[in-house]
Amino acid sequence: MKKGLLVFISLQLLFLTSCWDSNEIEDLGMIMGIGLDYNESDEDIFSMTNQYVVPNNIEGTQIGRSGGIPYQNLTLTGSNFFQIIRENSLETDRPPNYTHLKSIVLSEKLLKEEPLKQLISFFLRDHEFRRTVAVFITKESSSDILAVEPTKEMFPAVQLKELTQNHDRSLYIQDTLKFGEVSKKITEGSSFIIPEVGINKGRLRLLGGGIISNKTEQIAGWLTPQEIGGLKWITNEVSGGLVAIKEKNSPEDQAVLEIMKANTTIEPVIKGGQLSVQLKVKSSLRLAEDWEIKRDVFQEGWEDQLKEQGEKVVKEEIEHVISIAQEQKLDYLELGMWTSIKEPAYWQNNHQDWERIFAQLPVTIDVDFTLTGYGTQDIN
Amino acid sequence: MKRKRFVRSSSLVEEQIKLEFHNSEDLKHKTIQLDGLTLILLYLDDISDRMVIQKTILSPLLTISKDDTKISPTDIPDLIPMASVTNIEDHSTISRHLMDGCTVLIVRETTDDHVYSVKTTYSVKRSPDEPVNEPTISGPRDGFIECIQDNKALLRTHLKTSDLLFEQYLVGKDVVTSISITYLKGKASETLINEVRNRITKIEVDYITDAGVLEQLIELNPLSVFPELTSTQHPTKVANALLEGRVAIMTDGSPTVLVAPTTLNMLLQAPDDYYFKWIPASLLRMLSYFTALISVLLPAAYISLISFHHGLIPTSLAVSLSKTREGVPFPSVIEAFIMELTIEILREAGVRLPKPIGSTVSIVGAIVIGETAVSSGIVSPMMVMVISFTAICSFAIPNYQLSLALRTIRFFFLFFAAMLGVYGLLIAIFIVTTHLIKLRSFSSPYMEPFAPIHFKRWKDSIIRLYYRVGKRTGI
Repeated sequence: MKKGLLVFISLQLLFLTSCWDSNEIEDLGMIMGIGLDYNESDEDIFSMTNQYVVPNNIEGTQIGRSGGIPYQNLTLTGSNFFQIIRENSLETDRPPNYTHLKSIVLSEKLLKEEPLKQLISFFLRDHEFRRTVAVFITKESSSDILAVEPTKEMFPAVQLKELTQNHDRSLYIQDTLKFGEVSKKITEGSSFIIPEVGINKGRLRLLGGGIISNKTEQIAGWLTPQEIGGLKWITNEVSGGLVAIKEKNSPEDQAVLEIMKANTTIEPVIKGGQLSVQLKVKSSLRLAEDWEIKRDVFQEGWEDQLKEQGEKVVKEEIEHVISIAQEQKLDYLELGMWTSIKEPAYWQNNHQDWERIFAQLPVTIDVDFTLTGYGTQDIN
Repeated sequence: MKRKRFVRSSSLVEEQIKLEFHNSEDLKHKTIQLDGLTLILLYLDDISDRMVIQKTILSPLLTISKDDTKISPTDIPDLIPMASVTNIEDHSTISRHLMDGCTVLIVRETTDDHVYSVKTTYSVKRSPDEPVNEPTISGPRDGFIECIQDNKALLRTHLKTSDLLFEQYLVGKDVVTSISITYLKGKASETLINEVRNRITKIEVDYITDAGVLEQLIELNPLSVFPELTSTQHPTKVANALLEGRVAIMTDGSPTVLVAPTTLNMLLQAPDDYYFKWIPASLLRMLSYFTALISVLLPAAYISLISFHHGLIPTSLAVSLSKTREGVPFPSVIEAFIMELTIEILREAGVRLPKPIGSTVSIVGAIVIGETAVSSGIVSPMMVMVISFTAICSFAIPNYQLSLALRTIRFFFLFFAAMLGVYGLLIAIFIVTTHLIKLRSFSSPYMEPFAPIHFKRWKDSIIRLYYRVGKRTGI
């Protein structure tokens, strides 16, 4: 009898919870993307755009539902982000839920005024924000970016994230910068690049990247798409794309090589207390497009000239990026990281002085191409 | 009602019996005078075969009598050679012999009675057809019937070995049912056989109507939903179990045979698994484990994801789910309960209805639930899919008793998931797993070979490994 009572009481503990924390999925304000902006006004310096999913407007197979815009952008202003989020409840009946957040867009103005560390403080602390959210920077206002009607996806925020998934197609696209990586870089105290997004003829377009300085944690400059390509060669992130070679004979003639595989190794060398870095790029490529009439791929040594020219192109790109970085004294090339891994003793003694060392660091670049073929057919 | 004891008194044996049967009309009584002996035949008209009585008892006796000089009452069994004759010493058992369809032959020499029982049973029985609830694709298609003698015969044809033993027990106070413990001598352990014997002899009931009742009487955990004995109508299943060293319990009047001890693994096996090549058979085995899991967990998991942990659903699915649930008036928990209940009702209705009308249920079910409920917005299409997939999965479980148990447990899981989400689901899983591991069926662990773990026996669990030539034990 006593046992029965005990079981009954402990069951009551369970029953009395009655759907504790239960929240039906249709009652959620699922948010796909957020955009953060800076306001010139005195009181409410921040504005935040939340991209809500509007489930009713999603076109489905069910009849009787008209397809409107499946998302709603709600821009509100405030002096901190938590306050803005709670103010959302004044306008929307469904409480915002960030578990399905895809992208965060930061505006240039915001990063000029405020350090990144403080900006993302709330988003790092809250448990609903995933560390896989893609981070972008834009020269436009971020609410405009989130308002661009997507062409193939349902939500602009999703399209934005998916764009960076093409980094194996083009040399100019940086791999998705995840929110977790941003927090990692900030903790490490290193500079890094945030992918830049812009609007081109009413469409979203990935541009180069914005440089975040490790000193101020604010925007310190911009990289063009070409420079992003050079950066990817250095940081061993190349997984596709092409190398275009201008032929000497005539300006129209060109050869395009497709990158099949690429690998970069960074080797710090210390000679007489002086640090230098050896950068070795190994890549295998394939002749993808050829405007040269005279080339005969069936003759041995056809690839020698191409290989040499291609290596030169890449080497120049890399040198250009290194010179920019050294000029800015910002090591977003991860050279410091490799030195600390491979020469820990040197790093231990000199890391306070790294900024100066980096600015004058001699880097020898060695690019080695292997041309594996000319595709399925050659008609020249 | 107390069984009437046959008290030997001055009155005649046949009169006593007639009195015991309340002078029932179908108790027939014939008297033959034969060479100074009085032969009295007693039989129950409906369950004794008159032709057999005529051929095996009457005609030999009537033809031989004229030539012989003197017949002693003890000679009678020899005079009717074709029949199986047993001498009844204890006159109190006469009525039981009569009820088995035997003809009782009382040979009276002045006042001395010799009572014999001659087997002349006539019974109504169906042919050993394939069991309806356990169809197989290949392999033997016979099934047990309601007559224990025939069931024994079926088992003997499947297991042609002299080690096959039947031990008969009589259970019941008002109506006596004969129960037979069946095992292979040398395969089944003595302790197991003794345990079965003990449990059966301990039963004290007025009557047993079916093996299902017997099963509940010899179980030790009446509060558990899991069947402690496997019940099957397949002779091959029983034969396989006996070869594995298990004990079968047959009940007269029931086509269901119980097998002990039972493991969860055993309940998820189908005889077909053994007849196909091992790779597809193993995949089928995995499938039945998978369906068992799905049929228990899917609705609960769906509920806990959709109303507690939205972040665990892939984004595109979450978006389309929130679209399909738009405008559904009930919380998903209530919705799931309504749908589960509907499915259970439909299923029961399908079982109870006669076959020609049975299809009506499926049509009504398909239209009402599948179409109308969704298009009128009472339930979401995803919920219909989840619940019907769960139902289909539970149909795929080989054993009906287990499927019934899992159906019950599903509601338990649903309840926990509705209250505490994935956390509650995990609590429920812990509770059920603990119960299963603790459960014993005739002193052997229910979760064998998983807990306690016996890797060597896994070759006939989630997978069914190939047979090897030259190995003594087949599986």
